[in-house]
Amino acid sequence: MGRTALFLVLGLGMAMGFIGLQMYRSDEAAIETQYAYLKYMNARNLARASVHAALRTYDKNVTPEVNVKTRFNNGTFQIDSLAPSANLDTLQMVTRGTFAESTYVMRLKLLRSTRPFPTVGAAIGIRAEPVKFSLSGHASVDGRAYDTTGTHLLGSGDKPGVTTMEDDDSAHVATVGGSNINGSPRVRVDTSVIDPKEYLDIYRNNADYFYNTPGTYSSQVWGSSSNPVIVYCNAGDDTSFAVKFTGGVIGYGILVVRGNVQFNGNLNFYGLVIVDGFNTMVSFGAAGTPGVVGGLIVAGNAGASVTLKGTGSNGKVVYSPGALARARNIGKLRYYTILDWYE
Amino acid sequence: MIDMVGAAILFGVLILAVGRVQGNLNQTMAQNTFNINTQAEAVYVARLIEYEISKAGYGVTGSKISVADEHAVTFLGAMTFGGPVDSIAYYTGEADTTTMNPSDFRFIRYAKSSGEISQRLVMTQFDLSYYDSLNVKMATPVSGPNLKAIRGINVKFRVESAEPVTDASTGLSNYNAVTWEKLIYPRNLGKPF
Repeated sequence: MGRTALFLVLGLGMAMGFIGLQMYRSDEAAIETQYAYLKYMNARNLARASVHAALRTYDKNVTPEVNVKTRFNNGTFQIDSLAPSANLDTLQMVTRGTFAESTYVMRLKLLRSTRPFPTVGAAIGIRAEPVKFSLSGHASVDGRAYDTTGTHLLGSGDKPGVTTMEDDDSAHVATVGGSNINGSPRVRVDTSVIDPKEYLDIYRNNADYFYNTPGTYSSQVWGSSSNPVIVYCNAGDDTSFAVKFTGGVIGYGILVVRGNVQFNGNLNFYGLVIVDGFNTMVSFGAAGTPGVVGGLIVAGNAGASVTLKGTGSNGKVVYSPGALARARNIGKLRYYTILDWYE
Repeated sequence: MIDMVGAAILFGVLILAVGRVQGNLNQTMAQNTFNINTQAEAVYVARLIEYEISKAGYGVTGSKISVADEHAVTFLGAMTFGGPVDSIAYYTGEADTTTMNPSDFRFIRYAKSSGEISQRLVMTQFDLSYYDSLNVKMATPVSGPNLKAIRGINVKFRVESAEPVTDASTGLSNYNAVTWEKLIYPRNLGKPF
């Protein structure tokens, strides 16, 4: 009897074990189905992350590395290949996301474009009317086309020295500027200068350097010729120049100035300078050799004033299509249009 | 003698208990099987839809989506890298009378290259909605020039078990179900050409 009971219990135990195993296998199959989908989704998300990481790297004017794995969210992503066109307008990319044993590959072709850019067809384009304009000392404006360094004339593509919105302003500027304004012609009316206001929020939100508090700044370096940046200076309406740059300032890209700002000492900015605000006054101080190579747009309320002073002899503002082009191509101001996307 | 009677009673109780356990286990196994089938079908459909809809417009110039209503979508796209452009459609078919589930219908995938495949997936819901570049839901059916404005396609479907499953503890019958929903942005729909 005891032996029979023992066999019965053993038999029952085996039967239960078998049933338990079956149920475990069934659960395991369900989990595997779910997990396989999870792996697939994660791998795909990682491949997408690779695309975004590459584009953000380009935004910093840096070329992303190929075949370098980045660990993220328990998986990895990498760029398998990268083939930008010579002018960087077209970008072909293959990215790979890996999660566990799932791999997801994306092949895409993108068109890189620049955002609309406030064009200035002169060394100084004045968008305010009427305008107060003064030049003193050896300050000068030159609308002839210079190279990106502002030292050599290109020999073609010359623009006016100053453009204004109205005939009266044009005559006033021509009289005040006299021989200190050069260009083709020296001064003329151009109502096509774009109001830069619509761009200012973009520049503010993307600014690499932001000056919002009164102070005196010196030895500022903003970017480089290969890595132009955005500088936003919100100076307010303080006529005593709450924001002053006293020397050793060099920058590349886009400089936005709202309000009254004084640049003293050595200022060299290569790119586009936008001066906007209430009765804006930009004063290039009498000391040093402050200057802009590229273009300057002055916009603001009626009565906006532009005061250029200085002792430099090589021109305070010279027109340079090359410097403007570099400013236009700041990485973070570019956007991408999909030409082909295979995943 | 008493031992024999006691053993017989004990054996009987054990057999009854085992029988009941076996019954419950069978039910659970059936439930699990339906569960796995439903999940596997949902994953299959999800991956198919994701794979193909994300290629909408790939290799295509001009119009990319030709039908966009609540239960049907037709689009053009190359399904392989650099491959030929195919026309793909998903839509709901007739009610499926071969299952005990009263709500299911056939799910149809049409490809110009391979024809129509009417699938019995025990699908009980297949809803589509469309979004423009501002991520605003568009009124359906989307037609005419509005088709070009589609940038996102939201897919929602539900697959259920073919037969009802009775809960061992409550005795209630129900259908196992998996609902899947995803807003897919086919990247090629935003192409400038």
